[in-house]
Amino acid sequence: MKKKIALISAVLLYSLANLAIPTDEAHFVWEKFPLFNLAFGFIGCVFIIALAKILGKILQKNEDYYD
Amino acid sequence: MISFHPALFFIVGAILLPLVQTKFVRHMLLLGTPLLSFFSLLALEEGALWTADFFSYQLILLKSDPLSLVFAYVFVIASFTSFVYSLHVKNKGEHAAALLYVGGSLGVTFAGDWFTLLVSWELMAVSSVFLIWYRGTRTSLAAGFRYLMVHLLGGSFLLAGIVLHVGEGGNFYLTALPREGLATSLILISFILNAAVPPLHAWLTDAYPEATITGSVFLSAFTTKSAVYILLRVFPGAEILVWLGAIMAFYGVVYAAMENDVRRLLSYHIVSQVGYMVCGVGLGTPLSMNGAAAHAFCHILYKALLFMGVGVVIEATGKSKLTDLQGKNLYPRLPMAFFLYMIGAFSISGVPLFSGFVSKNMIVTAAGEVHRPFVHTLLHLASIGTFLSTTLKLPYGTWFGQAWKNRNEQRNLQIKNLPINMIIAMVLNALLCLIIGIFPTMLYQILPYEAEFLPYTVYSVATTLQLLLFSGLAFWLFMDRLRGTAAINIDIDWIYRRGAIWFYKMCNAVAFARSGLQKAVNSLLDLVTIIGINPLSFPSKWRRKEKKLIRYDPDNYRPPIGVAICSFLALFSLFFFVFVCF
Repeated sequence: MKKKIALISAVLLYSLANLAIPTDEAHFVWEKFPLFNLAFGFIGCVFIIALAKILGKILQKNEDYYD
Repeated sequence: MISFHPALFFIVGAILLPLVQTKFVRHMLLLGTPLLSFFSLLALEEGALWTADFFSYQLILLKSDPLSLVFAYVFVIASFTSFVYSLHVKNKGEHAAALLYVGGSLGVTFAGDWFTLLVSWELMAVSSVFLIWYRGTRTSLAAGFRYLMVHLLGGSFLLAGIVLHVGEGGNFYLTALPREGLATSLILISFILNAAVPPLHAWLTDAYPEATITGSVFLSAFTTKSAVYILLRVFPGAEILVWLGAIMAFYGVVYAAMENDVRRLLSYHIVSQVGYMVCGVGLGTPLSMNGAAAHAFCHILYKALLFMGVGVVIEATGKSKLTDLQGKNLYPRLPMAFFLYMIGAFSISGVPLFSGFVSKNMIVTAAGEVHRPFVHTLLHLASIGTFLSTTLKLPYGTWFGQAWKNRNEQRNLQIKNLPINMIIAMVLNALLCLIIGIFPTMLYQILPYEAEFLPYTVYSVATTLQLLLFSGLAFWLFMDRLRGTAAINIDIDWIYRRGAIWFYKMCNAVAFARSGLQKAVNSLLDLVTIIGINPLSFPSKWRRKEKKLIRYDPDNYRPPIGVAICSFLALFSLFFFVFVCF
């Protein structure tokens, strides 16, 4: 439980700290939203894991499939 | 000043190698060849240096410019560290194949005309297949054959394209091609086949994991990156490459997230990383093309390091699947391999201060500068996926993996002693990755095009860290879903691996139908013959089941061949007699 609280507070602190980063160099409008890249990293990663799991259901075969 | 072709050293080395008897001389030859080649590179001037007359054409065997030099430098450096890594291998054939393979890739890099390119291209295909076959297993033999077939197909596309191109009056020397026409399409297909662009990528992920441990380190470096080089030279700014590259970068990471075999996982990341470079070539701005060249440079070094890292694990344990490795707690026994692997893993994920960061961001930034939001997003997604499987999933499963432990399996793995040269090679590559990451100007000043790029800005460092840390958080939360599963993933190679079985079946069916038809026609003929002998007697014969049918034999009715000769001679002498007398 203590670990979880520590982690959540670390995540929150890190997110707060990142609000201070200037976004002048961003190429697209949505990149200027506060904490866009944090959300993108998290959602993108979940998306890839989910996609891999769903595709795996279709594409994964036994190891002797080609023998 | 005399200039030497850098490929020459490797080809001469391959010829000399079988004559070498002692271990010391073999080591000297393997390490000396890249060193000599490197010095010859440093002495190269720009321009067409080696030419040869070939029928009515003038071949340019050696033509150097900044673009070819960037790739040549990294090819020679990577070959040196890879030979250090494979120094303990006693099989001379494998070393000779590797030498020829590097020689072929340098031949591609310095080729000034299409014919030289084609010969070097085929030399690479033919020599590299031995790095797969020398593994000596049944699967590697089969995978090697598939690899060779696909590459020979690609080579024939290239040949057909070149013949058409030159036949139509196109330039015999290597220059950017016009954007349309059959010749251009054929040449492009052969190039993107070697660059492993989906759907022509399956040869890579099929064959590389089946190669010898040291062979896969060589394979990871040369074929795809020489294809990137030639794309930069011949197809800069081709729009189709932008899309192919972006999709391929994403395609690779999704397959990698499903993969169980560690070397196949890394092979899918070759596909993904080459996707960045192909995309950079397609974007066609000086920054993106510089990025493609720089990323190829960094990629060769860190990918070789990653393959070396898992190679060490395979060498030590004999296992290459996450399902066999996870939960075995290898870390205390192979800590050096872990740390050095992680340097490669941080480099490929583009963590600041590691080499991937300074090269990958050039391409991603270039995509942002020309306002390609979709491409930019796909490349960012691919970065996340790369971090997920090479930096988190693979090392966790291989060296730790307590959370993924199979409950009923407790036996520990036997660890073999490792040759020290393997670790030294990894240290060398890791140092190079760090040096490039910390002092990127060393790399930037040899890049071929004019473009300004500052890698270490507050924004880019912060953005990268945000992306990576939060994908790491997602990994930690959903870690259980990523454990290795004992399965193989179907990819495009299914078409020719399963398709071949169906093709055989179809051939058998056609052959069966043909022989059945023949039998049916023959029995019909028999029936006609029976009736034809005496139609009136046929019904009675049928009833009495008399089958004393005299089969038709042409010899019964025709005279022996002697009769024909005799009559011919008789006629001939008669004519002769008549002609002479009258």
